[in-house]
Amino acid sequence: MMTCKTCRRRMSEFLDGSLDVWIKKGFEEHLRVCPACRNQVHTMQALKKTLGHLRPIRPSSHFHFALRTRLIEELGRRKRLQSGFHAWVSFRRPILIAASFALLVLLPIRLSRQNLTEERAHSERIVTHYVLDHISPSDRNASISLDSNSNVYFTGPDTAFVPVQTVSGRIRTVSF
Amino acid sequence: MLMTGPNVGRLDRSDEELLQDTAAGDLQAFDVIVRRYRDRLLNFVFRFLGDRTAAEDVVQETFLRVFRKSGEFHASARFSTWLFTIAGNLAKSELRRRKRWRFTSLGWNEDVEQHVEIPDERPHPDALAETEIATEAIQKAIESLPPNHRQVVILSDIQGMAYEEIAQIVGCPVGTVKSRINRGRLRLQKKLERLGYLPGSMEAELKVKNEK
Repeated sequence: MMTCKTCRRRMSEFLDGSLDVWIKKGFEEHLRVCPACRNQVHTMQALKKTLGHLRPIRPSSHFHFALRTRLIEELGRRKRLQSGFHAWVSFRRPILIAASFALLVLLPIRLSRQNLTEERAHSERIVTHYVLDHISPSDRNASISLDSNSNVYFTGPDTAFVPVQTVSGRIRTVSF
Repeated sequence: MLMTGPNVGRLDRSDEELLQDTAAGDLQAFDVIVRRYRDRLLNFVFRFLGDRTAAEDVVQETFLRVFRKSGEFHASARFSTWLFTIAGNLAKSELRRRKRWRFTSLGWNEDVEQHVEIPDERPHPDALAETEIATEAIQKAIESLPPNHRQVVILSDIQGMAYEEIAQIVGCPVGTVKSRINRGRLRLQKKLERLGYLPGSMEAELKVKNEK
């Protein structure tokens, strides 16, 4: 048997005819034995009809004129946008936005990478130890090429400039 | 917007077709759409806000937005649903704006200026009619509902929309719509009973008045 609480919760669905058949049956059974709910259903039904019969309002004469004016203004704005420079910009807007975005994002990245490379090149000149004596003149090219990834710089096939740290801690460049 | 000669041929066109013509710059096609929906929209917004001038502004803004976005409408949704969704959102924004304004306005009156406008308490000639008073009472009762309940009750009972369409407009599941309609009606019923208006008698009065 349906309770009054459930009946109240389902009241609108009953009036709108959207209750399932078996729930509707239970609902009607409850109404037969519950005068309070029956009364409430009648009142809600009357309210629903009352709302449906509210006198509709009509737009004022000003409404049409105002709307017409705004629509014509909008149409004019649209036409202006579709001509000349505006049309050029609006047609290419996605490309322009993408290009601006790329410029804003990529430029700082490129600049920061350039700074990093310069810093790294500078630090590579500082050598803490390098044993020049252990490299025979015949092996110099090979050794230089082997070490060139780390700290050795050469300017020609037979000449190399190697920065070394002296006993006093100073850095000097030795050429051979 | 009068229905002029060239518009007559457009009357049997669907909303979607008219919207396509509008997107191509045909203002007369849009006139047909405006004529089709302006009354329903105006009544929906008016019942929601309770202010005729504000309601007309909201409806105008709704049509203007539809006109601007006419090329972006997708036929996956019904045009009327889209239209009522825009109008509903604008009406809610207007309601929020008015609440803020009222609050600010009261503060300004208290702090800055002591001048208080005395309202004209003489009864309005129209309000003397019993039905007008009843209608006013119903409108006040509708306005006392929370906006979410108010919107669905108006769409259901005044606009006569189905649960599914209302659910699409308000962007909620159908179950939520059913529950909001039921709670809204119960609140409305209680409010009107407290004010001494029995819906049964009001309904009869309004029916007679509208038939005249």
